[in-house]
Amino acid sequence: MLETETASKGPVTASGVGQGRAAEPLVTVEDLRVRLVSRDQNLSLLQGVSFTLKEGEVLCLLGESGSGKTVTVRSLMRLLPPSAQVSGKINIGGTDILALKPRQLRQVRGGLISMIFQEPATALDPTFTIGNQIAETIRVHENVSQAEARKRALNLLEMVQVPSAARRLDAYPHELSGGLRQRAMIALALSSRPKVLIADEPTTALDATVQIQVLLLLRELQRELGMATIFVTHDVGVACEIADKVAVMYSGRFVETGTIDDVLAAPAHPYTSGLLHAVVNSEARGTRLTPIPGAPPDLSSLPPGCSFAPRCPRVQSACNDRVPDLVEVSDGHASRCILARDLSLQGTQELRQ
Amino acid sequence: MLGVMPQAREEALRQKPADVGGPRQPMLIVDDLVKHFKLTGGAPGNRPVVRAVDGVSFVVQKGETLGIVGESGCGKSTTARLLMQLVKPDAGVIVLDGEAVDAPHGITIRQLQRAVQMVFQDSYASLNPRMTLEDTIIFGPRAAGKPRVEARNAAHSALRMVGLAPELFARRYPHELSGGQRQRVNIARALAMSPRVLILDEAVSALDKSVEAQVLNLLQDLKESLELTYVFISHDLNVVRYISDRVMVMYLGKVVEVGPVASIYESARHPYTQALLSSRPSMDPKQRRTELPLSGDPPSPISPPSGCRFRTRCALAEAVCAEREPPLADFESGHMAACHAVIPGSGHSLAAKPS
Repeated sequence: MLETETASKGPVTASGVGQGRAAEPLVTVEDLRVRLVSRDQNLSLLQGVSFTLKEGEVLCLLGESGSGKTVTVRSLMRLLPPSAQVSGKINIGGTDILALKPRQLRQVRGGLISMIFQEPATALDPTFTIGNQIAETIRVHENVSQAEARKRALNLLEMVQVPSAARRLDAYPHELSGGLRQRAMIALALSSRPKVLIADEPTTALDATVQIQVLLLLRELQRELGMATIFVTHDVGVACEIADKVAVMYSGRFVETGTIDDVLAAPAHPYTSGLLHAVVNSEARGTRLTPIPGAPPDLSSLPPGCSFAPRCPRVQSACNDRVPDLVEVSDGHASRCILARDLSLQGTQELRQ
Repeated sequence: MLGVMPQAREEALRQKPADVGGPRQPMLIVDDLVKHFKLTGGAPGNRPVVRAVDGVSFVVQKGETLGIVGESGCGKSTTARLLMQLVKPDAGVIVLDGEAVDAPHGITIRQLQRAVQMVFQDSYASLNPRMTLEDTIIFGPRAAGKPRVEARNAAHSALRMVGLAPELFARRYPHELSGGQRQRVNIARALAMSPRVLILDEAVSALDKSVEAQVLNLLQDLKESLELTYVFISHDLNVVRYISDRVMVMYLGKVVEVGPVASIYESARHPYTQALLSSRPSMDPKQRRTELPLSGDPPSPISPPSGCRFRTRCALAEAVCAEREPPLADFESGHMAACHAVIPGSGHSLAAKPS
């Protein structure tokens, strides 16, 4: 099954990122499974997620709430609650993340892999100034003086384009607007030069005008610093702006993976095409929208076969037998659907017309 | 998809309050609405105020959907709350179907609050977790003096109208439903009051895309079959374009542009509207946005800039923009914009000279 994962194959064709064929993947995730077991529930949150990511690549996890996007990235940071049972392999830059002891985790978090959260207002500490929070993080990871750390903090705020950065260094989070707070959090995340940056819906809480500013900034920083980035979003438009590769998630599995161009041009999974059709675009006015019927499945009682089958317009009896494999439909483009090849062919034909 | 069932529809139309002013009378006329919130702190008598809504006027025709867009803090939600009188306006007049609200010879605030209903963004927070859906929906009609049996029937028909079978859902609690279903319940609660106007304040913003489309279709169906008028507030410009007949753009408590949906989206006149429109993601990975349409955040509504409030972020700003506030000038067929650069004779170098 792993052989068919797009991520493990060849260089990425989109926009020339991924430094050549020889580059070793920086992030390797194999068969990641997460269960949340407690007295009154037994939820299967992730059911075998595998991918690889090279330096400088941007992978976008796209899906609806409850599909497992956040659980995936939180397992990479080991940020799940103790009641979560995690299995599989996570290797980042040669470090086996799941084997780390709490002490070692402190160095890895922020140093090797770092995260930007959706709500900057709750992720920043309200009782310390922005400058203090960034300087503290730098001093946890590197042996530098207070003054040196503060200077670095100032440079970071300038890098994330905070206007009058010197003054903002002494501002508390509540004194900043949402956009500036999110920039401050990006500065904080980048303060110890991580190799992998995780951004969990970083623009969802922002206004449209500020969202595009933050997206352009992240794109610029990512290109300059060459970090591997995992970007979580539910918004196809945001994915279009930032992703090289995209993985569409549904009930704890990747259902389609590929370059953003391929997936958007010729979606090879009925869920992906359903999602693209449900997005309200400028041509939709005066027509009826085509929503995906029903609601996402209950994670405590998933169907035995394809978990999208109950909502799928092209469902067949074979769909309910077993979970389909992720099959490759073209170079680097794969779909977890028994009709994957037909759908992809259809998409390509529509594109030509 | 479950459409509106004919029997439920007839029932609802029977309950509907009579049209008072006739079809040409606008459903809502709002004139010079003002709300300044006093902040705590500072010397008494000299407390700073947030100019949340600062002289907003607009009209909503019968059967029309007015979309209101703008960044957070522009006053769109405050406008909605003022319309419902959930917050008391400092000044301004609201006229519902020819009858002034809270004025001599007009209608009372309670009458307004029956005819105008609201659906909020957070579907979970707006339902009482300890009440069954039926009890939640009955609450309004009961408070309005309906007998218990009649109120219960109204609740069931409202549930049917939003596509939730009362036999299955009436006795359930909010936590047993998905986000989309909960938002349907909120819509049903509004419908049970047989309203004439629905104010939808970011009503679909918290929903997943596939479910959002379901609720938007439902709203379109309900509007048509129940002859409703909508005020639709959202930050999602694509959704507003889809559902609205006319669009109003707000910035820092003021209306900067208003007009028919096609003319706003295809030929926006105000630089702020243009910037908002080009902030939307491109939806095409081959043509990504590279230019920043607008830098910075909106200034504080506590001390807004003099003259035109947008001038501090505007690429076209000139001296005249700081001196005088641009009026909302009429261009063609109801398309109005408040920008010196497009108002002839304003003194701005880009404006046409008066002939």
